[in-house]
This record gives sequence, structure tokens and C-alpha cells, in this order.
Amino acid sequence: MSISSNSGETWHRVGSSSEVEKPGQYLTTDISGEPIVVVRGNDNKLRALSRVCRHRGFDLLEGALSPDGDLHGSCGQVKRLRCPYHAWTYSLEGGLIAAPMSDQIEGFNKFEIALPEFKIQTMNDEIFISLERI
Amino acid sequence: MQKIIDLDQYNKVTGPLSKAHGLPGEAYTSESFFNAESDHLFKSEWFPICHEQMLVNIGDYYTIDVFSHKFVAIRGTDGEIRVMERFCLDSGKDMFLSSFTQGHCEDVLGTVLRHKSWVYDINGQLLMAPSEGEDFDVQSVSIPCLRLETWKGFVFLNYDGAAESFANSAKTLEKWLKNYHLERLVRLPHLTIFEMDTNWKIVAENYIEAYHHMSIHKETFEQVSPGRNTKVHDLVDKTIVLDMPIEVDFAKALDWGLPPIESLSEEDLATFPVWLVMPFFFITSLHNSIAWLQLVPISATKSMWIGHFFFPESSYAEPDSIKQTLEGGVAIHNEDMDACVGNQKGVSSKHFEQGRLHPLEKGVWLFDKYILETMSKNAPELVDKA
Repeated sequence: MSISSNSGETWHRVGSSSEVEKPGQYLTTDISGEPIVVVRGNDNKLRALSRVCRHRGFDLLEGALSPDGDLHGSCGQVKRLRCPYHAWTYSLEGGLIAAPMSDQIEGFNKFEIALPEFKIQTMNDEIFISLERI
Repeated sequence: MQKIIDLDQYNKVTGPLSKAHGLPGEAYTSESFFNAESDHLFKSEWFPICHEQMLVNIGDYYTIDVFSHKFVAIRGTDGEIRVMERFCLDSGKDMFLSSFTQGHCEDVLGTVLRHKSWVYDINGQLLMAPSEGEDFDVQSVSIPCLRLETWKGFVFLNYDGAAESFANSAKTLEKWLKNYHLERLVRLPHLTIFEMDTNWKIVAENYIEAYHHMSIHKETFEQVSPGRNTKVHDLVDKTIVLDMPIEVDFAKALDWGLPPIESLSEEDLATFPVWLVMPFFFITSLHNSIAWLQLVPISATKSMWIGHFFFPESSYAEPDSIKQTLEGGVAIHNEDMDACVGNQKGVSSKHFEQGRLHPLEKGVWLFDKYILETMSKNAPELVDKA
């Protein structure tokens, strides 16, 4: 379900907050082809993050859509977001925390790398996200 | 001409390895980028179209679609292999029923005979033109044959006819393959075809870096040859070499059924080499055989990955062992193909930006840089310098 606000932004309902109550609990959704993960951080804050690794552009949590195309076809709980391709690893808050042998990459600063974050709101237990970046 | 990349994106890819980034997302998703590759990369380069052993007898053919072109490779009445676009010069229709198919034509080119359509012999010479008048000279019409070069039995096509000899680009590969005696190996008469919903460069990039071995192949190939030890040689001729040292007994660890090719030296057996002669010839050693991985671009988001395997003739006495080798190779290959699908999905995101490459991804850097530099050399207007 999508709702357009007075400001022209479109908000997409992606699930209920009871599905992501605890730190590390996540649900995935694809909106207009944009792979997104809604995840509760260790700070207990709910975030909508891009699921695309900042390295080579891999979907961090493959299999987001259920076979019937349901928007929130995948959910679970993780300690961190680890890219299956080259093991670049992000915190639940979206910051890069590790990349294998990154000391060999000249001038590499993991603190400058984070997954894009999108606007999120909860209303009456329902989670809505907008594709506008924070 | 449509611009396909801006200067900043271009410089991020073509700069030094120490600062290198991968290609922008549009390179893997945009039809404009794909069409530019067709016009300004494919046409000026050598593309491996088939192997001589696929066309043993006069009239044997292989149909293959590359970029937006439909080709047929066929052995003519004079015993020569020819490659032609397989549409009728009159109707413009495809004369063959299917692509990526091996078959045999007796006297007439094609597998589809349409009412009143022109008829050609297997050399592409027009034989009959029922729709034309009696004074029409059929002898004056033939389907143009494209420029070919055969190297070690592999048949390469150069569409614009202006490329330097393929053999000059493959001198490094020739040295590496010296002990394999390619001319003695026999092609498995079977096509192993994988249809991929990914851009061809996603597959190519996966093939030429070992940084992913520690995660994607953690339980398989990484046990034999840890990715961190891989050496990517500097580009010599047009050949990228991934030299992956083997830490344990390769044959025992992966149990691929057949012993290594007898003529290989200890040095050959100490590494698992992967080669790419830019930008389309992908070939690798399985020690007991050679695999040519024919990567065929179909559209911006589709490609074909066709495995051709070459074994010593004696190996064919043990079909179960050959099957074991293929199953072993395909198991690792499937791990890569799953990775390629996840990669395609990510690069299709509007928020994907060119990421920094690791030194172990030197092969990706060499490949991406070659693609962009070749295209911009052939058509400088593709790069938006504004």
C-alpha cells in the first residue's frame, strides 16, 4: 500500500513494527526495484537502509521478494549485515565495520562508508518508508 | 550519439589501481551502454565464435547470437569455416530455427524454407531467387562472410575486419598453455549452457577476481587455493592472468575424477590459472582438461555462459570420471552464478555508486579500464566531458 502525503512524498507500508521489535530483527522489501532492509539497530531505533553493498553493488540479503511478489517477503534476525559476495560487513545502523584485508586499499576509511538511509515512520504499529534519503 | 558515462565516472575507473573504482550501475543495466558496447567494442575486437571441432564435416553449423547479431558458423563445400549473419538478403528473416544450436545442412543454408524465399548454398552463395525475374543474376549475390582467425582450433570473429591479428594478443596465453598441447585435446561434444539474467560484465568480473573466494567459495575452492594468495599479473599483450597457487593436492581435495594432463609440469600443477584475452576470450585450466567459457552478451541484463571442455583423448575411456569433473566444475560455477544474480540486483539500484576496488580485484580494474578506454578510443563522444 502506498500513500501520498501533502508534500508530494509517497510513503509505502512495508510491515508492522511488531515484526522488528528486537535489535537485529529485519524485514526486506523492494520498492520500485529498490532493495531495502528495515532493521532495528542496537540503539533500538528502526531504520530503512539500502540493501546494496557499497563495494561492488551486491544485494546484502538475497531473496527479498516472496514468490508471489509480496513486498515484505523476507524477515529474520542478524547481528550485522554481511555482504555474501566479498564479506564487507555493516552494523545494524548501516555503517561499514569491516572489509577483508581493507588495510591493503590505499586511503581506505571505513568510517566514511555507510549504507544509504531512507525516511521511515511508524503509525499504529504500521511501518511506512519513503524513498527519500536522509 | 548518446553519452554513456560522465568524465568523473570514467576517471574513477581508468585511474591507477590504488584509487580504482568499479563501473557505474548504468554499465550493467542500460540498453544505451549495451548498444555502445555492440558498436564500439564488439565490432573492433576478436570474439570467439566456435571451435573447429564443433564443425567437423562439410555442412556442420553452429548458430550463435552475440549482442544484437545473429550468426551462423558453417563448414563450407571447400572445407573452410565461414561465419555469416544468418538473415536472408531478400526477406531479412532468420534462416535458422534456433540459436545456440549445432546441426547439419546438406546443400542449402538454413533450416527454415519459406514460400518463394531466396535459397543459398552452404557457402552463402545465392542459388535461387523465385521472387525475381528471369534476368536476375543469382551468381552476383552472396551473403557477406565475416573476417575470421583460427587460433589453436578456436575460431574468432572480427566484425569490422580491422583488428590486429588475434595471435599477437595471445602470446602470453600461448606460453602458459605450452604444456597443455591444445592440439591434442578433444572437445567434449556437448554444450553446457547457462542462461543468465545478468549483464555479461557481471559474469566477467566474477571470473577475473579471487577476492570473493573467501566468502562465495569458502567451503570449496578456497580450501584448495585461498583467494588472498592470488597473483594477478600485469597486462601483457591483451591477456589477464589470475595465478592462484594451490596449497593442497588439488586432485585429492576436489576429487575431480581424472588425473592431470600428463604433459603438465610441476609448475603448471602448482597453480590454478584463469586467463582472459581481452575482452571476450575466457579460458581456464582444470588440470585434467581445459575449459573455454564462452560468455555471450545478449542484452543489457541477459547473457549466456557456455562451457566447452577439452580432455585428452584417453580420458574418454572413463565417461564417469569426465562426468565427475564436469559436476565438480559446475558446482563451483553455480556458486558464482548465484553471486552474479545478487550482484545484478544491487547494481540496478538508483543509489548504487561506484565502489572502491581491492588490490585483489586488479583483474576487474584491468577489464573495466580496457572496456571504457577501448570504447572511448573508438567513439570519444561516448564520454560526457561537460
